[in-house]
Amino acid sequence: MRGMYLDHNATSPMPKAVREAVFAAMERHWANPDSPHRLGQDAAMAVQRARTIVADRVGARPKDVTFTSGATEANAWVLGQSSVPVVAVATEHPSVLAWAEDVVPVDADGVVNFNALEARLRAGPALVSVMAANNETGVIQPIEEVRKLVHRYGARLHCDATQWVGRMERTPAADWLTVSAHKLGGPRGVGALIGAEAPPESLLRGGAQERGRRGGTVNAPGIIGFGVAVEHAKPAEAAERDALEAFCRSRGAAIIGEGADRLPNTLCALFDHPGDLIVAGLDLEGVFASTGSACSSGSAQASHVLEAMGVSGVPVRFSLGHDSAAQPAIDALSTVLGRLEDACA
Amino acid sequence: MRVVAAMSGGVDSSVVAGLLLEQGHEVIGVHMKLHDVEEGEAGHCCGLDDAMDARMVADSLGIPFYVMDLREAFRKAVMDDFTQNYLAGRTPNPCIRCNGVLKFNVLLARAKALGASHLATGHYAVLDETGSLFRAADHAKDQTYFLFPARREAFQRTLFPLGNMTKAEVRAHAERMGLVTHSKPESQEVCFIPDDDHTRFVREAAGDPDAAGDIVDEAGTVLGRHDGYFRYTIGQRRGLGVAVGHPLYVLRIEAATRRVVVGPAERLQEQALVASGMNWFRYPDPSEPIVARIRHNGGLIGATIEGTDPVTVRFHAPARAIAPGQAVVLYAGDEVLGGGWIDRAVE
Repeated sequence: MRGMYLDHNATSPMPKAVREAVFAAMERHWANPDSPHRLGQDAAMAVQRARTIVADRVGARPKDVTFTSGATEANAWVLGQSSVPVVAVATEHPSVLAWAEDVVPVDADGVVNFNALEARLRAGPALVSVMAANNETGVIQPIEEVRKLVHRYGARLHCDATQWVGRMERTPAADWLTVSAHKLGGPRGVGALIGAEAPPESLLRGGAQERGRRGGTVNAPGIIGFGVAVEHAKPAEAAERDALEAFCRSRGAAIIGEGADRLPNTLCALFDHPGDLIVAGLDLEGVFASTGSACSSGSAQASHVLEAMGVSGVPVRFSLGHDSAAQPAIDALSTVLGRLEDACA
Repeated sequence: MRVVAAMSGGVDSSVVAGLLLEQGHEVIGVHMKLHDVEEGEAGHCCGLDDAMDARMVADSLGIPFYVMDLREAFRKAVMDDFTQNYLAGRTPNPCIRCNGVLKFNVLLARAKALGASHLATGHYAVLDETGSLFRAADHAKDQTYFLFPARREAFQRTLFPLGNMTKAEVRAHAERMGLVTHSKPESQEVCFIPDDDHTRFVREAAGDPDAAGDIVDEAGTVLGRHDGYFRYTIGQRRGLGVAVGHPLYVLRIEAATRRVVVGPAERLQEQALVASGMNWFRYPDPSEPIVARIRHNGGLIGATIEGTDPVTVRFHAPARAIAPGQAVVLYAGDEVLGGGWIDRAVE
């Protein structure tokens, strides 16, 4: 289906180089990387090269990188095995919030409330989980300051950098980092937990793979594709997003998180009309956006992210990639908003 | 033209989408997500499985398909209204409320917002281009009783492609088109109460109110106790737990005193009713013969009317068990003149 894809925070298409690398891996590196023969060793080396690329990208050692089936699995591993209570920010992804015993509020722009976080740290031990950038709003958390605060209290920091790595240059420093391949143009079903120290127990027992941390035959083509995707990832640019954002403002939309630093590719706009209806109208015009996070039924759900920011309503989220252009979206939005205004008149 | 087909996931609305497509229209499928109630065995509308059925039909037809989240509007306009009516001692009709407030109002506006000139649904009823409403060709399937609150202007932008078909014909179309929903059973119950236990629903929705009271005869003699007056409907015989030697029926429900008044069958026969919240498609000429329907699948009773809103409907033959909260719909032949909500029976 042709059209303008503006839903890169849900998943990003694989660039040709990545598709070719995955296909080549299926042709050449199909052997089990844990097999002792040369075919297996070749596959293992290709996986190791990918591990090095991912590690270099985030400033870690290759041995600190444990590949998982994705960000959700990485989050579940590090947070689910925590011996101290998990403290998360209210706007975290549900795969983080699912493990949180305490939730720290955010301000109206979606930035973590430092006073509340410090009060919680003072109260007792914690594993703090703060995302680098929010999937729905693009709001960036000041991870460096968070880390300093967390470490001052002797606590540890996990950072879900799913939406960050591949789009932004500098990688946030944390005790553990969650990364996902498919948000940066890699294959779906691959991610990593990165940290100098592994969680106390294996994620999946019964196999020596990933240094015994995650049993199960290594997904070599996926991991190899992950590495190539990281190599090809270019920093996100704001120009097209800014043009689209200016248009949304001109049509009366509120920009969610506008007072905070945001990912240059993300725009969460709240119009006077229901976001799910605008998204359906855009779809008919060949512009593919979303209402927030992806949902199984395809219907809009009340967003816990917006709720935490004190915002009600269903927004439209545009998340752009390098091929995305603002003008087709602006044209489609003009048509859709025009119809909406007629229908409500 | 561009048409939005409301696709519940049932066979009727699936066929609507398919027929419109065959007629050359640009069809957009829309499924209304109305509540979070889990589906039971089969045949309930609005759950996720129904959304998936509708999506599969849309996919097989190759048409765009969207789920619209109307849960909040549905909760306020239909579910809360349902509870409030029962608490007031009335017998609500949520399907009519849903049609009036959601389908031929909110959904129609959304269809227009998607650039569609018309909304199509799988109702068994007939419309002309002026927005007049007529009974379905198959009188046994006729659903005009549920449609009266819609405005004429709304019906001018509505299509009922099944209005001249029988259910068997619709199923045959579904099979011919290879739609996955072709043998799906009918949905009958209230969609947000899959176990059909409205008493439990009202109890939970209202926070377990103390609704127990006396079962009395018309003289006020206490015959027994009940554990919740909203358990009952006018004309109900079962579940009273009272034996006096002859059959007893619920005659009245008095919410203020929580009394359920019972009596013999002949006391259910009423000569007239008053209804309000009327929606008139056409107010009849004084000489025009009129028939009235006071429940879905109920018979048509010859009647005379006075007033517009409220309207008094006088029956030419006694009508049995008039339930406040239900609808009265008035017809001239097959044409729907108007309808409204029953306030009470009158002398």
